[in-house]
Amino acid sequence: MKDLIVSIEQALIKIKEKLSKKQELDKEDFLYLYMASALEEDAKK
Amino acid sequence: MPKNKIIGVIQLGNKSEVLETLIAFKGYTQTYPDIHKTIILKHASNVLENLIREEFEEIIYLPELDKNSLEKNLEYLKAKILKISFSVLINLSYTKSSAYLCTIIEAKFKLGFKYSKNNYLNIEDIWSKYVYSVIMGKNLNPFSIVDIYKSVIGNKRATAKFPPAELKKIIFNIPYNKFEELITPISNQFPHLEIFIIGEPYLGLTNLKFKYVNSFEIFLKLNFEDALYIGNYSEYSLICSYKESFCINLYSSNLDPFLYMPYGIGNLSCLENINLNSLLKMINLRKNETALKTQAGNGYLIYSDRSNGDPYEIKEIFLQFYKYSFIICFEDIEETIRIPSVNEKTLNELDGYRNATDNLRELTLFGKKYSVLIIEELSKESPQIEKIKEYGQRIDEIDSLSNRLKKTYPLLGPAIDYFFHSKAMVQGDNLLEITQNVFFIYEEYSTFLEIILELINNMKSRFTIIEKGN
Repeated sequence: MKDLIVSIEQALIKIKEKLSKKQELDKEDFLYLYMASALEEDAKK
Repeated sequence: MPKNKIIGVIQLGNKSEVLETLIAFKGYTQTYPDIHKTIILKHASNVLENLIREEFEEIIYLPELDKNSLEKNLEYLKAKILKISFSVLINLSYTKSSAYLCTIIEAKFKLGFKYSKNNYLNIEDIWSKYVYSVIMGKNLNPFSIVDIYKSVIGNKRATAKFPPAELKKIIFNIPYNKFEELITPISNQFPHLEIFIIGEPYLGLTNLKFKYVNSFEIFLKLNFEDALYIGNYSEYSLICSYKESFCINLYSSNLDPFLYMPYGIGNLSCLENINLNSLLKMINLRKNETALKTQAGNGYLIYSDRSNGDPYEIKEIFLQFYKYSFIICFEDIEETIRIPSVNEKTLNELDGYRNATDNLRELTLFGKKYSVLIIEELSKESPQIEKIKEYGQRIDEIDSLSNRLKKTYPLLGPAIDYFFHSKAMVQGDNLLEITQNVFFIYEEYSTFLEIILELINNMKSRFTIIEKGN
């Protein structure tokens, strides 16, 4: 299970790198962003 | 509308938000019978499944996200979400996660919050921009969330029937400390009515006639015909509103009474500390169809007992102004305006706001001027970057001056924030196109403020000035 958490974190790091290079995000990137934001919103409730 | 269109609706909110969506969609199938409707929900909403199927042909439940089964959820999302597509996708949730979902799902047209490929929040439709700038900006707001949903989806407003002259039951959803003050005397006033009370039996209120409803599932099975709901805004009031019962909403002073309003012609709202006599007046108001028609406007009314002559406060006046101005600008429909009684204090405040609105309008004229200068410079063979930067800085100063004006005149917030965010989200393939769109926004902004100024000037000449109140 720890690998999965790391996988989302790794995905977010990759996304951040892409954005800093002014590259466009793809659907898979947005899927990770969706999951990360949904978990964050659930945690706040 | 062309046949065989499929629309998707994202609603990731709680039971109340799902119910608000269902109320907004009432009548949609009759108006657009050839449109197939799919709703995307969180699994926790499945207790409402029967009601949801009255408005939607298909339901997609999103998996509950859990750190212990992320891989499974990811595979499901890839298999399900990446494969669906719609003609129109409408995001009626105003959250980051719903915006990402709206970005991922394939659709020809998208409404509501979504992201661009560079991960910037992108909102194109006017009503979703309104939610972002006015409501999430905690500004004054005259619209119910259901009205806003209906406007986003293009469904006509206020299709509910008028409340029944003859009631058969009253449903109470009020705090225990109001039970004895309200329930027993109202029940005595209407002895032939069934009384339902949401909650556990209250020892201070022993009457075999009273029926306690202690679960949402049991509540859903009630017959809501010719019913009156009295209580706070909740999934219970929303069910009653969906079933077209007459609703009297009791709201607390720290909540937005317009945003969370039981939708339907003749439904009323008032502060939760209302006394028995005023509540009885409100219950009897339902018989006065003429009064309800002239007052209800788009289908709701905040009750205030002004028969004792209390004047309007400046905030209430601006609520009317914004309702009128946003609807005329967004939908080209003219709303009715009530000419209130005011006192000297409000008149003086209104003078201050008239001057501030005029100053703001002058700023928009500067905004137009500098946009035109940028467009002219860009249209030259060798545009000077320094000049373009300078004009851009002038536009930034306009924003900064507007914000300062907002601090002193907070009721101008809805206008300032809406147009600021519209400008910030402006689209365009290049700087010339972006600046042209900025110019159009300033033009609309200036017209909007002229409407407000005209309303102020027209009303001032027709106010009844009274001494009562502060």
